[in-house]
Amino acid sequence: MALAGAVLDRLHEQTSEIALVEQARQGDEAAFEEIVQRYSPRVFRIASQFFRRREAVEDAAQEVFLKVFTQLASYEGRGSLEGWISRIATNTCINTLRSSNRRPEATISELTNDENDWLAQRLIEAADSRQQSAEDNLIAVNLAEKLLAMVPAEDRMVLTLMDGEEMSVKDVVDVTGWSESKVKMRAMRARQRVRQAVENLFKSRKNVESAGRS
Amino acid sequence: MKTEHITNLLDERPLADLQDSERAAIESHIADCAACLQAYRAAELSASLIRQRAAATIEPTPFFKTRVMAAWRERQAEPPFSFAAVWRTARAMVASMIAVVMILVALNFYVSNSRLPATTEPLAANDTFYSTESVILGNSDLSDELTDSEVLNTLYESSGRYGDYK
Repeated sequence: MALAGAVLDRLHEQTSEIALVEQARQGDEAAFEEIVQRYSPRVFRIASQFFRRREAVEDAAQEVFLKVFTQLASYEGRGSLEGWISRIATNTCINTLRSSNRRPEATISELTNDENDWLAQRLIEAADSRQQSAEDNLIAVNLAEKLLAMVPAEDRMVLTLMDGEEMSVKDVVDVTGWSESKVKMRAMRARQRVRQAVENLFKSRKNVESAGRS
Repeated sequence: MKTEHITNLLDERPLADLQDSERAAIESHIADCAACLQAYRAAELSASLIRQRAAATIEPTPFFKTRVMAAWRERQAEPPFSFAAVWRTARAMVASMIAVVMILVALNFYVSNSRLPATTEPLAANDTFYSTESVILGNSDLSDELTDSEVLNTLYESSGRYGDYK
């Protein structure tokens, strides 16, 4: 009974999506507005995984919706509209990030004092985000951003979706349109790169400490 | 060392997805292997950092919809791409480029025509060519084929000279 209800809900949602797309195709501005209203939280969530600054996230999200409006004619209604928009958002963000300069390597000297202290603290205690203050959390997010900036845009996205948002390989395949093996390979490569970067930070921190003692 | 290193296991899947048996294998290995212990700690920390980074999302403001719609209207107001419009803006430049090319071609013809007669006329006018052999032997009617008597004469002459030397 519950399953039938869920199927009916999905069917109703899909019907309303198709109607919304049809209205937008005919140039109905209210339909465009409804699309932005309905899907901007999802698009912002995706763009937030790529950019830290609000302006950058908003610029990317705006670009996504302009592309959605332009390409609406090519939407065939096979998958969900949200999935289709998510894919456009992902590709737009990857392209934007790819065109910006990536940092080749994060070193201990590039960390701020706060990040350095935070890292030292993590070396002593287990990494438990529940025990962190808001300030600690901000430092952690900035440090994560520095580490993720070393990874190619596509790999970063897969890693964030799988390890950050806990999406399955299949979900990432749906969002990106890539093969399962490609998604797995990129995730593994990104995970290894970030882990090794953290190990290097540990090592260089130890070197700094031992140099300080001697 | 009890088992092989576990770094591959750390990178293959999210740490949260590891099965109990895999966790047990990791824990027993890192008890003895310092390098893998450090790799495991780094993996734990990076997983925690990525989770925190993913949680740090930015929400859309109420003005975002207005901003997108304004940008959309602006884009709609732009005239659609047409070759006629491109041609209208580019035709002056294209015309000036064609004029420059034509001037260069005309100049090239003029310069080559004014120089050619002085250098090429004697060669062109005189179509009689002299070979080195004909100049030395004074015979323009040279033929590679010798008659039998010419061959015999040459042989006699050379053998006679040879005999004189003897």
